[in-house]
Amino acid sequence: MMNMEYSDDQLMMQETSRKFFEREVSPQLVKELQEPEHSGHSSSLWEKMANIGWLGVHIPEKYNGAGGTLVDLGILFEEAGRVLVPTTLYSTIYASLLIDALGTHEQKKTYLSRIAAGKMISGVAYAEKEALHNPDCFKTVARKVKDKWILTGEKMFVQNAHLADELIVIARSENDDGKEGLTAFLVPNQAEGVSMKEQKTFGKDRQSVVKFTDVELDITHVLGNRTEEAEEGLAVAMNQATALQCLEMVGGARKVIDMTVKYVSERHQFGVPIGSFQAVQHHLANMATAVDGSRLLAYQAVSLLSEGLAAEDEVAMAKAYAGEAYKSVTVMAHQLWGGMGYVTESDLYLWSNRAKATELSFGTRDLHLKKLANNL
Amino acid sequence: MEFHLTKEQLAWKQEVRNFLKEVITPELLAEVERNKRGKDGPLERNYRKQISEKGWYSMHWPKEYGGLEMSAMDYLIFNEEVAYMGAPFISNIGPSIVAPSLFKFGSEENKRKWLPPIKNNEFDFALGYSEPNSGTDLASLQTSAVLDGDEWVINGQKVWNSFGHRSTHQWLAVRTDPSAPKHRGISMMIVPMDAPGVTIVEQKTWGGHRTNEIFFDNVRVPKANLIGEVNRGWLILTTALDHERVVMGSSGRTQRNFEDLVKFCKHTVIDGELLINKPEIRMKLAELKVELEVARLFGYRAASMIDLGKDISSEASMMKVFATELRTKVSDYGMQILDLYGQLNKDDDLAPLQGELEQQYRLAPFHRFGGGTNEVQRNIVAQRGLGLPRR
Repeated sequence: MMNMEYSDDQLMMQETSRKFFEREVSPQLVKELQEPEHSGHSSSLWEKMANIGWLGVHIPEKYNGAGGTLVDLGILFEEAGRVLVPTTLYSTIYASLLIDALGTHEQKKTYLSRIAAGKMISGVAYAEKEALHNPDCFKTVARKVKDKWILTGEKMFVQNAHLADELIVIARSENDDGKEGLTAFLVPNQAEGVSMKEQKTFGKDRQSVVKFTDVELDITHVLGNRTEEAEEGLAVAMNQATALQCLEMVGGARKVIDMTVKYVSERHQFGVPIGSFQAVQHHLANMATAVDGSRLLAYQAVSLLSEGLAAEDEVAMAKAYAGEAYKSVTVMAHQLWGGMGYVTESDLYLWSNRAKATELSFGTRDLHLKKLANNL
Repeated sequence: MEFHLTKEQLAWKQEVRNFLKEVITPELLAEVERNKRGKDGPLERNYRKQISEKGWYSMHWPKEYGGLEMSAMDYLIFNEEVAYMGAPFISNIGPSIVAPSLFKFGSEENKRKWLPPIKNNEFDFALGYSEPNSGTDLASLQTSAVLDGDEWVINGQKVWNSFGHRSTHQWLAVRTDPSAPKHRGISMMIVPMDAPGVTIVEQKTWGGHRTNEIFFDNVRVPKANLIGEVNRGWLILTTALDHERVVMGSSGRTQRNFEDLVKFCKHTVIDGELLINKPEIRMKLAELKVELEVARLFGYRAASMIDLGKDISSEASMMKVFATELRTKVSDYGMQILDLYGQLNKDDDLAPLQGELEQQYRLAPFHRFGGGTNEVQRNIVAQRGLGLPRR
């Protein structure tokens, strides 16, 4: 039955995760971790999240996860988005979804268990200098030489590569029969031939250019042990990660609205709270409407995905809409806060940065509208 | 959380659609169009009779009042289908504004007297709310009712009285205590249109639908026509308005317009190119598709919240603003896609989509300001939804 409310269990998930994040992740911490001398990651936070079981919410119990649904994970993302949890959470979960979609039992046992236990940070290396969304243009290739794979190429915008234990690298591959396709490789950061350079980003999150120079990998490092078969699993995991990111964005946007409501209710001019002016109220009503719409679209997408449906249109709709909503909410928040929100002391810019960063990742509005147009 | 209609709801949707397919005939639509400014004709009366015989006027009423006790979701599905199929308008005023007010505030005598004829579609109502000087500030209304023995004597003027010319009764807001603060001196009563002293004058609209001015000159109605308590009408009136918003916010018609527009673009070549292949059109259609999905989800959210027994005031307002503004966007952009053809109205044989888009473009403002203007709705979202201070 159509029901947009949380179940009791989901409500509990939301309440506990909100409490936890509000206690553990202050704007001060977020700012600190973003400073160049920090790694962008908090090991103590990571350990606490692992202990509660949140790094394995969606990971099956047999791999030491909590065996929850994608919706449960979505709730966690929404709450994490409110407080701007460091992005190692998102990149590692994305990798876990890919491992879950493609990996063999052995690989899942190894890597998913490690992720659930907080023993592995990861990210997915996908985009390249001249190929952001179209793998046909990838130049990173893997060649089979005897029983080894030799990986060569360069990936960009790789989230948290500097901290990753293993990265998942998507490359074009050619197997023994000369068949070409996409393959996902698990590449240890310490492997010989891996080098990286951090990029300087608007969102102050950590992304790197990662170079692979004749990196030798054995079959255990091929996700699923099969080559040229990663497309489908990749599409599934990418859709899941996109929908989850929409919930992260919704969480951030809702937090900005909450903070803005508080600000305009307390800030007095002309002897009254500025939040009593209709011009201000209407802006906020529009912001709330855009975010409620995003939230419904995002939960619809996550919910359908968790049932195993493809939900291509639903994911595209969610990302196209949420990207615009989160960003616009922060732009308007700056307008409503005036100078008070412009000074970094107010912390508002932290969300504004993240809004733009998330808008630009996993496809902008145009990309998703184009997908929708193709399905009209 | 779940985002599917149940099997039963899907079956219900199909049942309504099948029924409407059967009863909507070209003759019926032609008659409705012909009589737009006058009384309903025999085909339209028969159409409504068929709906009433199915019990659908009172589908959402409790069983104790003879209703089918169907859910708000079922009711929304019904309204969406009616709009989607372009069925002749089915007034919701009696069954969804007057009747729920009677359930909640009416005396036993009120209920006995008024509910059966509403259920059987014998009585049709018009909303006697707005006045020349009381629109958005409805509580300032001046039409008065004074008790004289066993009768109320009513004097004043109402405007934007849509359906007044084809209704049997007015659901009238009157001032019964001029000395009380403005919200505390209003009462609700039912006034038969054939009572001596009632005069009705047509007001034409840009949207092409008829509305009316209505004058009350010493109109006398029995004391028992007052609904609920005297001077407590404001509560009744505002309770009913929330419901009206959910209906105003239905996006069924806009969804249909969009689908027809996509179909048109897939089959129409202009300047050597299929419209659907034009990149600018594709992107705009995709954008509208996303917003239609949001409107649909807002509707389902409001209905499911009602079914869960939750307060929906700010969600209903959000839904209403979103859906009504989308109506303008779809018809506005649709007309642009049609380019020069966009200006052909329904009377022209070559009008694409039977001129539906230009009609919706003219009808859209009514939806944006009717049922509480979108500015007031935004205040409600801000104040009741977000808790912002009032002035």
